[in-house]
Amino acid sequence: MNIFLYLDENTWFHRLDPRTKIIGVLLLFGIVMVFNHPLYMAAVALGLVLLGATAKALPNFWRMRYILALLVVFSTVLWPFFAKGPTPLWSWGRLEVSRESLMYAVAMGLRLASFVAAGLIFLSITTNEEFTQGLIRLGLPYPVAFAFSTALRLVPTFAGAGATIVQAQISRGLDVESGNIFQRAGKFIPLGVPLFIYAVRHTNMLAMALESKGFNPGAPRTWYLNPQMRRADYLALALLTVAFLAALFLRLQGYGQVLPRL
Amino acid sequence: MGVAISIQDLSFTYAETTRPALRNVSGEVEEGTYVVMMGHEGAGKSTLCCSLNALVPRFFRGEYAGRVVVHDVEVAKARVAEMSRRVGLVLQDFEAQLFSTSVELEVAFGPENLCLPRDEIERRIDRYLRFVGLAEMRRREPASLSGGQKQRLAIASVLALEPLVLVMDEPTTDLDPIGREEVLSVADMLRQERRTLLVVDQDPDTAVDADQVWLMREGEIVAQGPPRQVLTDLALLESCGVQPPPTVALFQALGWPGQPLTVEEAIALIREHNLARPRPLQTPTLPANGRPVILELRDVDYVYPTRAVEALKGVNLQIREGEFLALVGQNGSGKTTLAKHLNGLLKPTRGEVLFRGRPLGEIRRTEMARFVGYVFQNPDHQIFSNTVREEVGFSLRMAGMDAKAVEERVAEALAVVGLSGYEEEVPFTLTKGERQRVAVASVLAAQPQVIILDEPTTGLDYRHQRSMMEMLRDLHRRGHTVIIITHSMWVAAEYAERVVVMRDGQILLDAPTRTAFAQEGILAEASLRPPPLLRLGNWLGTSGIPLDAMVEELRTG
Amino acid sequence: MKAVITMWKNTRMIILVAVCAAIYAAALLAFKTAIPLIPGITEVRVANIFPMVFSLLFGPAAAWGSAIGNLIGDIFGGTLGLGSIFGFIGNFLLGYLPYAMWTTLKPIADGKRELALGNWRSWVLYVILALVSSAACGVVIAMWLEVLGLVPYPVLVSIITINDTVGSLIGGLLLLAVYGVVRRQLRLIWWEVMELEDIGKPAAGVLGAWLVVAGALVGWILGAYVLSGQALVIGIITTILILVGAFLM
Repeated sequence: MNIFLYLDENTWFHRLDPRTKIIGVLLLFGIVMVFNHPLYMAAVALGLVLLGATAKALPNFWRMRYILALLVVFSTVLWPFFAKGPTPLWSWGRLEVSRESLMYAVAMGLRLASFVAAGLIFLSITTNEEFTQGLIRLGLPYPVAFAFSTALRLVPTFAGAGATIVQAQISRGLDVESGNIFQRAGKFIPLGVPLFIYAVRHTNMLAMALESKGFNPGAPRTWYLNPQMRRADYLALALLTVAFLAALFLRLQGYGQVLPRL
Repeated sequence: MGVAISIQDLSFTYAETTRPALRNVSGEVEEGTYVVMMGHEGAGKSTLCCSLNALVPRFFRGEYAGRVVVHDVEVAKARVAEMSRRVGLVLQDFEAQLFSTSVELEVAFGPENLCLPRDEIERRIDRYLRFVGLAEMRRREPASLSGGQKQRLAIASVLALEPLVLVMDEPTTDLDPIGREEVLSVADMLRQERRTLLVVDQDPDTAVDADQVWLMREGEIVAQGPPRQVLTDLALLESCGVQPPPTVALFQALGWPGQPLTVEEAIALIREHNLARPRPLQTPTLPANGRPVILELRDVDYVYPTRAVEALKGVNLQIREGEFLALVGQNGSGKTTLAKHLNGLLKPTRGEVLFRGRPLGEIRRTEMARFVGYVFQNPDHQIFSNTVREEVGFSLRMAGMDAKAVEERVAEALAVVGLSGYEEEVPFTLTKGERQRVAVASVLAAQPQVIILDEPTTGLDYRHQRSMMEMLRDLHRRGHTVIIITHSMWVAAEYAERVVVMRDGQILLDAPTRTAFAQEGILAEASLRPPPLLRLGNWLGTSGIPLDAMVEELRTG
Repeated sequence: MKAVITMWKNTRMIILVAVCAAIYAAALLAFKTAIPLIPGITEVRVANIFPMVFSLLFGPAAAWGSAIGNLIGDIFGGTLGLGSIFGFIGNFLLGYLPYAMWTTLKPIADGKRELALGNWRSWVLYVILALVSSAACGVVIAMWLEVLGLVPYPVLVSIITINDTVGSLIGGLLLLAVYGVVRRQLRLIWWEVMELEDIGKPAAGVLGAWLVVAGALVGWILGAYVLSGQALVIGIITTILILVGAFLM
């Protein structure tokens, strides 16, 4: 099972410095946050799709298509009941749906999907080690970065062990597919306990292996990966910053807003 | 040449235990020599390894006495991180020593800790990945490598620290034969570079080329010397739970002159002294048992849904009641996939599987557990209870049996695996061999007619391997159909009646055991080799399998 | 709070962070798409059996582990976004509060770190902490997502609180099964793995604990059921209460 979303391409985006990628995706998140008008949000979402196409990240969009579609639908259904607007369309007791709240709801659906899209672009162009290295270069203390990357490394191992455990218990007659929710919860124990013990047993061994290789959390160390900020990085960051500021300026001028809230 | 390691009167007892793990151990290793350590589980081999790089007593606390000096540094006074420049340690469990998200970063990790400059790290990555043959894999995820590759990566990552001494604690135990060979060939290259090398291994074959063999028992070193001296003392080896070289055992049993450590040596000696004359080999051809077919695969294909790889291709197999069958082949040859079809864990993509003539699709999964038991390779993948009693009774309770009947069945199953009286023990505290038995008992309790075991002897020392297999033989005598998946050729040879060899998802060979092991050419196609005794037997033309049968045959004929 | 920082000096604790994070993330991913409650935001989180168990066994490593594990779940679930920031904080609390309040929520707590699992009083405390830490996590996350305009506060706070409470209660069974092994065989109970001087004493533990209780319960019940019109204000105030309380422990 491959859980990683990185797509091994060689686009302009892939070659960016990991710091640029991290700050860049935060700026994208910022742009996604600015508007709450569905048309403006649609423009942002379209922009992200174009960006995704350039970064050759569309296969991941396709992989997440159900989530993306559900986000839009779900949010559109839910928000009208919570955001209030001045032009009522329909009401029933305390529940009320207005024209603005409906538009807001559609915008929020697009915003959620845009978030996911921006995140997907980032994950499609960034390897795990670039991500970790970027965080370190942005000031994350090494032990924390180390724990993060080790966790990334262990997820597939534990997922594999989990799959084997399920099979082993099924072979002993554990019926995982039937029963009500409480019965199923009880069946978690024969699966959860071996996984837990298996994983925690690892701890002592890993710590041993680590110290044997000269690991010392507080001590200084050098880095093999050595990302460099180049012209393209500064250019990318400048472009994104300008786009973010421009969007902010428009919003402050009153554009792209159906309701006076974020 | 100087002394690399000097151990003087070392004793160590782990904190909050009473039995010493090491008792007055002394020894010296010259620079550039190759030492192999052998001994039973719990003999103190790992503790001794850890005492060389300060894990004992820095990481594992306890009562420490004596002195260990490695290249002029007294270990007990140093920190583990400091020792890492002198002593590199490779552990048995390759999963637990890799923590990077790419192969090259794994190798870079140690040098980074040593604060080496970037270009030096680059040089070491290049050099050591090439050394272990992983240069092509630089950018891969460690999780995506095979077991042998993972262990070679672990070795490269330790070598990158350029330690003066390399210690490997059972580096091949968890590997299949190919992975084992890969790792041992790396050890071989290191030896040719005249590095100081200390390896813990179970297999006498590894020890044959050592400069020194250290034999351990109950925390003590009971013998130290060149392999020809240590490996020929059969009684001593047995007492340490170590498998003696079978060729030596054969020659001693027959009273033949010489102590051949390898098959080649044995053949040379037999020729030289004209000890026996090779004769044509008589092998049985008919299946030994004419009882009804209990499990049958008909034209089974299987494709894993996540990978588009055909794991089984047109497999036909009939298993009869009361057989003892061994499935052998390399990792990825389809053994486990095939076995998982036998209890319905996997459903064939094409073809069908029958249990007593009924298609498996018609039998409920939970019901199937009572017909065909399946013991997974790692007992820790299924143990979850706080007492052995609960663990063994689990499948019975799942089947809704009443408490009294469960109790009886549990007692019976524990008796069969030799764990009577263990009912109240906490399974997690038992040794690996005992946990393995608990796992078998928990499957046996449901009294399945067929019992399948995936690698029942892996990770056990020789003594425990023997007793596990004797227990299976006993089950077989009671009428159970036993199917084992194994990498261990001597286990297959001595215990199974029938051997099925797999390669690339197909059955390459299916024959009575002795017949199968006579086909060295076909076995080689599956990258397998008969165990040493049978290679000799093939040359001599003897048809007996265990040592005594062969001795008997050579005496009379 | 001190131990949360000083634990980064200890190799075993660092590994425990990684191990907790990996188990949590693996479980999150395995059930991510099984039963979505709010697609892209939350689902029936079977994985939430783990954080409280981690917390009582591995202390500060559980706090970081749950936080990082949740982040990894977001990353590979494809739902990384600004919401992940408070997802990180909320799950940090889920792993932090149970062990921190286990000794400070007096008089219900008796002040001892050792879990007396045979004692009914421990289980009363367990249930209270399961509810409080889940509600605290819910308040913090729901407040932030309301601020971002992603999901309405009243809906999310209840979903998270109830889901995580149920998870933590089932987790009690897991704790019962593994406590002895972790304590005696693997010897990985946090207060024995860490040096005593690194653990430190809470600044105002009892006060902090009760602030968290107040913040979590008020934020959840008032915000979700009573004054849902003022949800955002309630969310922000109670979040501050919870965070201040957490710092004091």
